[in-house]
Amino acid sequence: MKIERKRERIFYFLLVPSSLVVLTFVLLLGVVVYSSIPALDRFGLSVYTKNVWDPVNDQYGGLAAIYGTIVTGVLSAVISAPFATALAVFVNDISPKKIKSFMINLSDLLAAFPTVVYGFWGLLSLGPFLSHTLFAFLGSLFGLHRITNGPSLLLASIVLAIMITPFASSLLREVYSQVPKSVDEAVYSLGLGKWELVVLKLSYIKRAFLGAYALAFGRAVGETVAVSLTIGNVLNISPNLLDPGYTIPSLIISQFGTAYGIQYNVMFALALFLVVIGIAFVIISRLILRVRL
Amino acid sequence: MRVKDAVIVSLITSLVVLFLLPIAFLFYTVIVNGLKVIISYGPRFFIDLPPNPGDGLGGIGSALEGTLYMVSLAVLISAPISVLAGAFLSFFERSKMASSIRASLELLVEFPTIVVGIVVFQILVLGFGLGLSGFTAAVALAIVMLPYSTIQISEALRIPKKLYEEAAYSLGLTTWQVMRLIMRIGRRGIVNGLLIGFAKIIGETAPVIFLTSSTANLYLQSFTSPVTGIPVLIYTFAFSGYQNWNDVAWGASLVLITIVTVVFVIARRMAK
Repeated sequence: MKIERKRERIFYFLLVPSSLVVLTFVLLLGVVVYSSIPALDRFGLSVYTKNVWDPVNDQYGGLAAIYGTIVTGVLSAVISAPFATALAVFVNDISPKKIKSFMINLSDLLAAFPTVVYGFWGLLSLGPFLSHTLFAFLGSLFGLHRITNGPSLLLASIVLAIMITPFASSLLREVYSQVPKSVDEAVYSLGLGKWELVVLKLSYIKRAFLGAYALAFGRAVGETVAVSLTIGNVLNISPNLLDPGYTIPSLIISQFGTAYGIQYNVMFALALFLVVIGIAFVIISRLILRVRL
Repeated sequence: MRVKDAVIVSLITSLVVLFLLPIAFLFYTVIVNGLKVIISYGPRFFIDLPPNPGDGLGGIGSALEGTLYMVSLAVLISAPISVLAGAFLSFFERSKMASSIRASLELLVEFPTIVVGIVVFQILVLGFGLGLSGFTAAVALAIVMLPYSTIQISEALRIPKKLYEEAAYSLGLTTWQVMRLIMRIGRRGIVNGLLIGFAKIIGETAPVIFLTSSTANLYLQSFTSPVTGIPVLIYTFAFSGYQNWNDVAWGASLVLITIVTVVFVIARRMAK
């Protein structure tokens, strides 16, 4: 009985700091909702569905930023997927042991790298380089006009793809390594080779792949500085990926400092959109990942 | 080896190499440009104030000082919470509370850091009237760090708990003593978790951009005066268009990735 009571007391002792974690999340969400109410009250859903940014007449609608957020998020996930998958397969089934641990360490280090450095490099090195090569080629191939020396939806997506690949591949790597050894044994005992092994194991982790990319997408749409430095920061909705654009975080970082009145609340309303997307994708990924593996 | 196998092996290997190319380009650019600046300015790069726009080279002393101050303060705020919450998660794994904490942690990890920044601004600066200071910035960084270090610590305590819990109880120790024992055994894992959090927040720009001073020409004066940090300095200097500011930002980038790499290597060593 005595031990039982001690356990209880320690439970409550630890409960206080632990519940701070829950409280922090609730507080963050609560403040975002609370501060966006004036904007939602005044503009309704048009704050999300209209493309207007007019501080003189106090009219705001962030559709262009939402467009940019979704385009860069999807594009970066699509670009990064083959590389992240290849990296996960490589360290598990192909690379020699020595290279394996080096690659794992490198990719985990890259996942923790300051995003501002990716952005700075993207603005001053990768951007001009791609502008002369890939973007010039794409521009002439599809007859797209270009107005910047790099910064564009496509450049931001490429920089984002480079950033989320290590993160996504570390998730995929874990799942891929958990595929039962009996699959390897079965493949080899049938006299089949790497081709069948990789194809079979990848088909095994299909769902986990979606779960990992739901998380990677959530990370990409929330990224701020790297995108802000490489996207060009122009509010327009253009199907031309070589045009500059905006995302919600990059809009917030460049306009929050000078926002006042209703514009300040519009910032929170857009942040709310971002947070809701983030929460939705965490839930989706959890649902997918829990079902299998 | 059959042709098919050779195809898949070379396909995957070439994708990996293709991914490593921009990474090598990144490292090359930052190291070469950064070293050029640091060597030509000399060791005072780590002490001096940044230059005026268009006016030669300078140092990153104030930003380095500000970063170390903010980040240490953030670790001090975050550490007790993440250690105790990590212990709770590993000891009362199956309680209802643990699953809601775990859910909150997963959501916090994905919470956009810029939103953390503007919420802290709203609460502390507008709500409580605290000015921009190292403390307000540290609160935002502590929130960003919290989920990373807590998850790491609860994972690190899981193994020693599994190995020693039953033996410890069978010796007649109380839960309190068992927990202290297991935390002592898992202390490397705890430090490792805090280091991971440290490495994560030292490079964060978005959460502190509105909580720090945009002019980088300040050393720390008092606990209530605004500070600046290396990531914020890189961000503002990158956009400036002044060649000398860009150069200083390259040097600052090299310093930043060096710190992150060193902390990361130490954390990996400890985890082994």
